[in-house]
Amino acid sequence: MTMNTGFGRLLGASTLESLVGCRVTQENVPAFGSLVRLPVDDHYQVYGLVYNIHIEQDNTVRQLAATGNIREEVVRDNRENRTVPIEFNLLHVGYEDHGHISHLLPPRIPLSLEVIHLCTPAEVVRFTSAGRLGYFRHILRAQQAPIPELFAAHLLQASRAHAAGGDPHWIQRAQQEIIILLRDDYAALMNVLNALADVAQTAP
Amino acid sequence: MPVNFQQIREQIQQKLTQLESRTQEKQDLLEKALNLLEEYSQKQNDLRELLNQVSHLASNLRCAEPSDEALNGSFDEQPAPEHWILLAADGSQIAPDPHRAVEFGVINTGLFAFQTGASPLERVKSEMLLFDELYPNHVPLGEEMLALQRDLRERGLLLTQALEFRQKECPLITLTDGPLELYRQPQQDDTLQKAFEDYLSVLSQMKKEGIITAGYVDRPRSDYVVSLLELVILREAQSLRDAGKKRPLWGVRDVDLFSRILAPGARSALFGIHSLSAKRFSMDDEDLALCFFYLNVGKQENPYIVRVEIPRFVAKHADRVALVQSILLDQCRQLSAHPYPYALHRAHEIAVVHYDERQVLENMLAMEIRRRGAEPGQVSHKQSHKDNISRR
Repeated sequence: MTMNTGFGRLLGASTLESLVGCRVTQENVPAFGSLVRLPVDDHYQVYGLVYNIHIEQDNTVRQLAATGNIREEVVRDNRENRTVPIEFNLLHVGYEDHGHISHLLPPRIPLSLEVIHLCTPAEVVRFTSAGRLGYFRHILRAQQAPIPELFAAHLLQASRAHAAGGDPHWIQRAQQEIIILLRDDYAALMNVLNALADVAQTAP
Repeated sequence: MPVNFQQIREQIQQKLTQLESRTQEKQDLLEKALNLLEEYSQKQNDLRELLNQVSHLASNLRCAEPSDEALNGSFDEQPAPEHWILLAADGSQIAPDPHRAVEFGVINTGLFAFQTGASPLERVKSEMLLFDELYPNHVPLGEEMLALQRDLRERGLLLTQALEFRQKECPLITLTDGPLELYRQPQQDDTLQKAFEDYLSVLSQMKKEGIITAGYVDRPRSDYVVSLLELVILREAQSLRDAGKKRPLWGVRDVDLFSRILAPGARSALFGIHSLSAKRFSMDDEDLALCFFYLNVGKQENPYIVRVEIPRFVAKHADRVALVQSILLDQCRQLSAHPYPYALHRAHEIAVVHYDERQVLENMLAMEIRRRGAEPGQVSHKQSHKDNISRR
């Protein structure tokens, strides 16, 4: 059985990241830090992490917000029908070409209106197991993303997927790698470790 | 050359000074009109007789016809039923431009279906006009005809959708932006005449199916009621022959009168439209005659008067008029900062064609022409220079 994991469409992209729009009632609306994939063709797809989820403002919504009692039907219309009410950024963390996963930045960017898919637990395990966690450097370099929180959210998702797949120690390797990458930046390391401490309390 | 702002500034100052000097004069005329409205509020028969007398003298007269309701009456909102359906349609068009590489037109019709207790639905219907369709009767398709075709499609889509929704056991109202009178009505043109007949046929079917229909006119500039009151002044001056030419209350508009009379949510009396073009609607069926009322969709401190046009088959049922009033108020309250029916706003949002979409459509068309081994035309030299200016 094929899972329908498509949930939004690409609005714009660069080598580093993409902008995606989706509707709130569609299934599988991603959580902050989720790993997603953007298939470009049959052999090539880009992977990214969800961050900066936001609702675009428009003048109609502004007016409705200023109205005392809005009908429920109007609220539903704005959430279900009006153009792309939710947008979020995807931090590119790697790509797959002819079955080979790379943690380098994607050589070709996805095109507008490509459908974005939420990665299944098996796909999360496959992407995060490839190579030596090299995609962490893209997270650390992200200019606009809250890096500690993004790491925490991603590691929570990935550690659950690995644990369910029989590898409960993946998160320890991931933490080790982060410590190595941030060994020269104590403040940043502490921020990330504090966030990971919260993960430790939540993760299986 | 840019605009000469200095020249314009001087003109603005001069014209505003002139306007200020006329403010008191207009205020006096408004008071006079309000007094006449009160004096004749119950003299509907007298006014009808007067109108009948004048219509033999001035065939082009355009004014209000009184109903049996008091002319200065104010009718409060009645509670709406719990369940109702409102279908709103709006249209947008791309007019053919002979200066573009490929000549085409587009009519885009948007429909918004608002049902209480359910998620609203959107529909859009896009139609491209090409080749012979752009030259009906070997004459280039003008803005007038295109607008008429757009209006026709709006009403046609409303009727089709209304028939689909009709099974639901609750009142169904269809709404369009602007008057029910069409953008332009047929004079001698056969094609326009045919389109007008199609329009009447849609209205007849709505009547037959019991579908309520209305046209919503935001910020109306009409002076139908004022023109009716002017007839009284002309009769007193024994110059009824000048009806429609002499305007003793010129400058006063109906909204000026009714913003002084109508409380928030209240509607005015019902009126008929007396005009040559309105008469065409009722030539075969009196029930298609055009009627209207004014409605205050504003607030106590800030009245905002709109005009609502309805055919007689709606106007002659008090419960249907009350329903139109309460549903329009309900809709306007959703956008209460700038009251306007939410469903109409959404229909416009669905239908509107943006300039960049025009370019996309032109490219689609050119690509398909090339794919078939032909070459699209060239942009005219004039358009090419215009494009260069806009790119600067």
